[in-house]
Amino acid sequence: MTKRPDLDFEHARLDSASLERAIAATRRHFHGRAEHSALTEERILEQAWRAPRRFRPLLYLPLAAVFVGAIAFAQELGTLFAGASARFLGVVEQHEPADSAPRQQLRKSTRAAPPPLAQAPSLGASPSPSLSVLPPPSAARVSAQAPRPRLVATPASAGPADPGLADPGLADPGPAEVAVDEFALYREAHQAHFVEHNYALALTRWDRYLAAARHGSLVPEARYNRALALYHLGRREEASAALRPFADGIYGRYRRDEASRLLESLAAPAR
Amino acid sequence: MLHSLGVTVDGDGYGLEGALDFGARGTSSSAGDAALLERLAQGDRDALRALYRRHHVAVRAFAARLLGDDHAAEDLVHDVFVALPRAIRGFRAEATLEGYLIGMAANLARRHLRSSKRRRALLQRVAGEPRREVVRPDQAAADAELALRLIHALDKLPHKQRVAFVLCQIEERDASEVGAILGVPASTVRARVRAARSHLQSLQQFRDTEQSA
Repeated sequence: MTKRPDLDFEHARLDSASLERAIAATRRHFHGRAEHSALTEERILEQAWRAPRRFRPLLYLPLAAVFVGAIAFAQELGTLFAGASARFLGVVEQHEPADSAPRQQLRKSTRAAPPPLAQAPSLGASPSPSLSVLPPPSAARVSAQAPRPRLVATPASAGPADPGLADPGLADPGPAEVAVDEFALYREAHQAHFVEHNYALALTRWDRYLAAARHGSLVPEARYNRALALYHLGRREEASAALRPFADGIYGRYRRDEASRLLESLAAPAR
Repeated sequence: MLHSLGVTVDGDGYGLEGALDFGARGTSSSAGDAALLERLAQGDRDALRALYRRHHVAVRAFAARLLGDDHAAEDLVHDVFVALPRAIRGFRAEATLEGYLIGMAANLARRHLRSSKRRRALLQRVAGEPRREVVRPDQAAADAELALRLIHALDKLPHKQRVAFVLCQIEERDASEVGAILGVPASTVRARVRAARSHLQSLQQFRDTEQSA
């Protein structure tokens, strides 16, 4: 297979010429000019002469004391509450039938992570969303710190009937949106798009991601990939509409050039 | 290869004197900077505006090359110029203002660099950015891809090596200038660049995490 010389990174060690090409490319790519530099200028002028925040220990000392006291009080209260709960649960368990193991397991997890799991029974009673407790993230998962089970409410349907026409920003996931493992949704969509190249499925999944994680950390990426899926499906008008914000710089330089080129190719008459 | 870009490698091979210029360097602008700094010290907003317009391209270029992230670079440029009215007390007349601003950016970059690296790592772990898409035929697209690879590799470097590498190799400043910017001897800068190059060339991850063409 012939490789493009500027992308030849097949060698185990990066040879000097490849490094020099990458350096030159980085120099050209990050050239320092930005369309929004005027906005930054205004922000700077607005904030440069604001009084600097000074650290005043005498002001913060009482606050710190109150904070420490509150923590200590909360801990003490928590101990008392835990003791009371244990006594209460002990009473309940004495009256439960022998086959109530799942409920006891749930109760154990409730103690381990009280706020989210405490809602599980009431939500689980509703038939429309399917609830599941995801296992802790594996090593490959995004959040390596403090892994914990996450409560996920998946809508019963995979997405809107015609996902390409639905505006993901307006799509209402409904009451099922409790907490979403947005990275899992993103991975699924990415798998369909870039591995399976099933663009119809990918489009559905990008829409599902955008509907479920409307403030997610990967929303710009998902929106761009959704536009690509539309492009691949030949839905030219929708693809143009989805690419336009990127080309207009709504997301800064992120994918701006690529979006512009795609728009140009979409504007060209179909062969 | 390098000569085709109009760049020559100097004697030790680590400082590069480039024909590519990206901002006001040298003494021609020093007098104007000095006058503006005097006015800035008296609280003149227009002086800050003028200084921003003179130097923002150079500072943003450095910030983006260091961070590999345009948004974070914009925030860093903001931080540098917001801090400038108070920071000019530490400015010495023998230094160039551009170098001083770059030094400020290098010092303020750690927090931004952490968040940029986190974001890149997150994207890489979740799925990886799409590498080859429908229409990417031209030089800019190839540059973007190569730049992204280098930025990922730079994420593996210690901060000081990264800064020295960006200033000497990508920005093509010579070691003595970078030494003045960073407040370290030129020999230290050369050693950091040497270590950075060696580190980059030995990175298996550079190949493993990126798909070749």
